[in-house]
Order: sequence, then C-alpha cells, then structure tokens
Amino acid sequence: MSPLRGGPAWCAVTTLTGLGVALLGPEVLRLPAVLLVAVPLILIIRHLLRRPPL
Amino acid sequence: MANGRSLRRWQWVHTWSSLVCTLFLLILCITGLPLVFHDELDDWLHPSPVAAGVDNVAPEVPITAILERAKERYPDDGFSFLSFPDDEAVVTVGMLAHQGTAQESNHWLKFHPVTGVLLDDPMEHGRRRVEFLDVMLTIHNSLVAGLPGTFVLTVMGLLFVAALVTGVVLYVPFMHRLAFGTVRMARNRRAGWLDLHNLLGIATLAWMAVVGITGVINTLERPLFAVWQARDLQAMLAGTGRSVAQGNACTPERALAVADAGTPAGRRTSVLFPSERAHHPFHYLVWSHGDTLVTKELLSAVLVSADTCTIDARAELPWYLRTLELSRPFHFGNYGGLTLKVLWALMDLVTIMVLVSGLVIWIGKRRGRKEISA
Repeated sequence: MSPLRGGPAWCAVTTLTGLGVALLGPEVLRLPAVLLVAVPLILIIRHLLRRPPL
Repeated sequence: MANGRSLRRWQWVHTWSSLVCTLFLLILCITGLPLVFHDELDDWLHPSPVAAGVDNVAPEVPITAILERAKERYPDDGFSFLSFPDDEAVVTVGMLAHQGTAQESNHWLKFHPVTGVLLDDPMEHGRRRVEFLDVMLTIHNSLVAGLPGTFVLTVMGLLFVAALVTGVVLYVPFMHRLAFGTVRMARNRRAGWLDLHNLLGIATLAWMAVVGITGVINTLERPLFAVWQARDLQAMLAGTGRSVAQGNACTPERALAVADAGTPAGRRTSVLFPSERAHHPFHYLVWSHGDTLVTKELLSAVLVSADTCTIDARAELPWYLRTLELSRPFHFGNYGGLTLKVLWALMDLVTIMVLVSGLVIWIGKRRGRKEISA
C-alpha cells in the first residue's frame, strides 16, 4: 500500500475541504469546516504522544 | 517506484530548493505569526474610537470637511485616496507630499467617522512613526526592500512549492516500510529527526501548499495591478479624455454620492483621486465590494468623471486580479474567526518545526560525511 494513503491522504482531504467549505460554503457549515482544518494537528499530537514501537 | 539514480536527483532538488528558501521562510513564518492576529492586536493597541468592538461606521461628517481639516494640517500636500476600512471605524485620508517630484511620498491621517476629529497622524517631525505591526508587515511583504524584495519572496515561494512537491516524491520510498506517524527518536536520533520532519511535513502539506501558493500570488499584487491600470483601465477611459487636469468641477463628496447611487449593491471601500501616474488623470476611481464572505474579497470599481460627475466606466477586474483577490483569504486565514486564526498560528509553528528539522537533518548528514572521510 502506498504510504500516501491513510493518514497523509486524510490530512490533505480534511485541510482542503475545511478551508474551501469555510470560505465558500454556507454559514452554518463554517465552524465544522474550520474544525476539519484541525485534523492534521490532532493526528500529529496523537502520533507524537504515542508510545514508540519496541 | 523511483530508482536509486532518480531518487538521488529528487533528493538533490529537495535539499537545495528547501535550503535556499529556509532562512526566508523562517523570516516569513516568524513575522507571519503576529500578522495572523493583526486585527486583534490592532484593536488592542488602537481601540475603536466609536465604541468597543465597532469596526464599521458610515461617515456622518461631510467628506469635504474632513478633507479641509487634512489640508489645514498639510497645506502643500495633495490628496491621493480616501478609505473607509471594513475593520476599523475611521475615515483615512491619503496625502502626497512633494507631489510630482522625485521625493514624492505617501502619508495618511485618520479621522473620526462621526465627529470628524483627527484621530491619528503617524508623521512625527517629518518622518513616519514606526509601529510593531507595520514593521512585521513590511518585512513579511518585501523584506524591507520594496519591489525587489517582493520579487525575491516570489522566487523563494516557488522554491518552497518545489520543496513540497519533491518532499512528497521522497516521502513514498522513505516511508515504504514504516507506518504513518512513526518517530524513532528514542532509538536513533538522526532517524528520529527525519521521521519528525516527514510526519510534520506530510500532515501539514496541504496547508503549506495553500499558504505557499497563495503567498506567491500575493507577491505579484503590485505588478498585476500596474498591468491592469496600464492596459485595461487606459482602454476603458480611451473615449472619455479631457483637455484639462486641473480645476476639477466634481468634488470628492459628489463623486462618492454618484458612485454610491450607481452601485447600490456594493459597499464602498476607497476612492483614488485622479492620478496621471495611475492612468486615470481625470477620474475618481471608486472601489466597492459585496457583503458576503466571498464577495467581500471581490472588488469592483466605477470611474467617476472629475469634470462632469458622471460614471464614465465600470471596471470589471480580469481573471488574474480575481485570482489574486480570492487567494488573499486562503493566505491570511482570516475568514473563520479566532478558531481558524489559532489553527493558522499552530500550522505556522509546525512549519517552523519542519524547517528546523530539515536543517538538523542536513547538518547531521554533512557531519556524518565528514566523519567518514576523516
């Protein structure tokens, strides 16, 4: 499986969707869209806090 | 998958494209951090003169009275613009000192929109007062080197985009046997830095690409507007010339009223006074925009004759200026409230980490090579 699948793809999709919908989408979706932009940061923190593999 | 030789080529491009732009990007990331919170810092440093939190008030004082007050203060200077910012309850008057000479320079004064009282004049003893956010903005825009500095940043931005593309190409073979997010810092420091660089870089890749590409587009603002003024604006006004530039019969006040009546759907943001240099010597250029998040970014203009006070032309901006306008919010991150601004700042910090980890990897590699050769 390509290493670009999974985490990297999710980060890119959520960032671009979040940025696009927050600007161009309806107002009701603005906050959820902005929160999508946080997904890469959450993934980074999750992986940095994870116990290193033995 | 890339073979060894092509992999080395990609690695060479990635190393040098990122190394060349690293210092500039660090400057941009550091100066960009306070600029993300520009409005908040500005509100804190200069509270609204009308009421706390009020950013937008239609002027209640006649514009002519405000202009007279500005002229009393600087009788020798000419007017260049009037602006009614969205994010500040003021009327800004732009003036030109030493008009038409080699020493020509811009300065501005801010007036209260309701009382017409002078609020701010940053000129002190003939020199402009230096403010923290202005310094950050000047460094971020042009490295304090004017247009040449802006062009340097264009090139650095393009190198950054090249570094991102080559980084993705290299990510695939390097992470082929590792799970996403693996950071082996405890086992091997050098591998740990590489893993950290890979994790931070690939996770924030889309954000860095958006901000990098829109940043490159933003560096072209001045030349693109200059092209539009010299080509499209001149063509629009081709049939509306006048014989004399002096003694404008139409006052700015009347020109604004005519423009407002002619663009009922727009909110007027600024007026540029007739200017030979800007290719509208006999016309006021009145800019307005819409009210929604997107249409706020899309400017339109009407050209009001300074002679007859009629709208002579309506300026629809070409695609390249529309692209520029739409790229701004994606670069500034100022359209999703404080939440998006905080995320923008965090992404900025992650980018700094990506740059620093890249430098650590490069220095580590060089040291390793020297040790082997010794």
